[in-house]
Amino acid sequence: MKIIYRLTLIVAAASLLPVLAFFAAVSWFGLAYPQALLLAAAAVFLCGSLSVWALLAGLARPMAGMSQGVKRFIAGDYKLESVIPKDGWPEARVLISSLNRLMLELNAYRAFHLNQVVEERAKAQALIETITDGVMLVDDRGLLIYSNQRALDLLGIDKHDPNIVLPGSVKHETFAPVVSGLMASQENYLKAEVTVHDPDGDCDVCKNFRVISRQFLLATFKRSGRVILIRDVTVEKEIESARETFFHMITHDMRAPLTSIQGYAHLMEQYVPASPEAGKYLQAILRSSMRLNGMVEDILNTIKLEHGEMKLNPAAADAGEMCARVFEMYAPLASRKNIKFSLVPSPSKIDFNADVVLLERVISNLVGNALKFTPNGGEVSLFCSEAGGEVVFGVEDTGPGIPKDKHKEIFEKYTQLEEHKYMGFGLGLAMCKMAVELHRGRIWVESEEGKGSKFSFAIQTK
Amino acid sequence: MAKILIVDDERTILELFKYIFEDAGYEVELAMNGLQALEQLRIGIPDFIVLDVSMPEMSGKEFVLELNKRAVKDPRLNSIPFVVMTGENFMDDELNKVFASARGFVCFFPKMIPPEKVLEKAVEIISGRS
Repeated sequence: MKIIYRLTLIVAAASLLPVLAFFAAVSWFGLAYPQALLLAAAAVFLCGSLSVWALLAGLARPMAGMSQGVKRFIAGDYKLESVIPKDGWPEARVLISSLNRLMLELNAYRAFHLNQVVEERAKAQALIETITDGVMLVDDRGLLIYSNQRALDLLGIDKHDPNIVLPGSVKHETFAPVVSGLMASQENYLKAEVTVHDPDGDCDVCKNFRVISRQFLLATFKRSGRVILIRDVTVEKEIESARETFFHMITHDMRAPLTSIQGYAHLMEQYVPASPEAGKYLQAILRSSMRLNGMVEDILNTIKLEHGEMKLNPAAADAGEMCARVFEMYAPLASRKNIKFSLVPSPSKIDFNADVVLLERVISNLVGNALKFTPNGGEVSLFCSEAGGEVVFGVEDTGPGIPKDKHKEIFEKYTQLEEHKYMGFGLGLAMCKMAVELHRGRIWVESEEGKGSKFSFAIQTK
Repeated sequence: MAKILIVDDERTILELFKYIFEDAGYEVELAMNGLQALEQLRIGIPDFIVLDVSMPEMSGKEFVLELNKRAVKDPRLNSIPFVVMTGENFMDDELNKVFASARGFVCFFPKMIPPEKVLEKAVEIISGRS
């Protein structure tokens, strides 16, 4: 029955019953008016009480129960202790049931999400604590958001310190200046190497660390934070050094046989009356051995330059002649690759003092790279000029170009663009840079992706 | 009165489903993991099971495998209809295969779907059987 009918019935009963009682008392039982009125009044009281009771039980009490239940639910931080007991008229029961479902669902949601958050956090924590690198997250003011124990240990930070802030809290004297540098910089990605000495100062057991820092956006704060990763690269360094020693040894030992191959090939060219075919083969042998010789020289030069053991053999040099020699050496390769290779003659003779052999290796490397990366049908040009007391050598190509952010990086050792992996050792440009700098010169690249590259280096003529 | 067995290690979920199903006039039994669910099966065979996947002691997957094993001896256990509530593991193909190949399997529900949807499915399956 609908609530409106029920209310109408109650009102009708409560108003009609006393009237009926009055008439019944007068006409059927023959009571006098005063007594009949008294009876009617009693009936009014009784009916009133009954209707109030019905309304209370059917609506008011369940409503009170509901409001109490909901209040308790909210006060208990949406944790449901008990459902609201069903009570009252059917409408009230349906309402209570819906309310209970709502609260139960909220309760379950809350538990579900809490569980998920706790679980995700536990997973992340387990992972981060397991890795051997030190990991730290700080906000834009350097306040610590999260860190694993390893990072705290490495940086000498007391984990009980309630406000850990970078770089202030870093107690380790070697890491402190590095972290200060990282925090002061606005760069998105930073890398630094740290060598930590043993407390006794014995560097036989010193450790090498790489500190990497990257910015990220803190979603909740709409500010940028930093991830700091501290990796122990001691073993990596050792392997690298072993690799270098090995390289050095091998290349060093390759020199002698290589020289004899070249020497005898030259002799054969001179003394043996060759058929046109054999002449071609001999030329190929000479070219290849020359290239191999160049590589060996580059490796040995790199190692010497790195260790500061390179001694320059300065001599009178003619820039034009140097370019011509390199040009001659690479012209066959260019024609095989169908690349238009040109030597731009300098307007005048440029004389200066330099280690000619070493600088020719630099030019060779630049030309070699240009030919390597320029596709068939492209163009490479080699030029030298004099301006402002400097001789400038340049190699321009129509290759794929180099992205702006890599212009510095490519001059570092073993750095190669991702797409050029496995195309050489990645030593060439590093060697060039060190060789040019040893001449107190400078080397640079002008390039845009898709528009070719122009590598230049300048050395003072006086 | 049809009987529903709800298996979930989260108490709040059990309470929620219990209320919804009791409201709809079903008899509801609860279990907090696969072992308890097997215990409930010993007492009586339900008409419908709502099964969670990751639970301590015995997971939903282990429960279904055990159920399949016992069904060989006890045909009453064969093809009790059940739905699986999957949380983050809904992408685990291997796991899904175990459920999907069980005889009573009805469908998967993502965790925290409104329970009325599960109720609807239960009503449909139970009324379809009787």
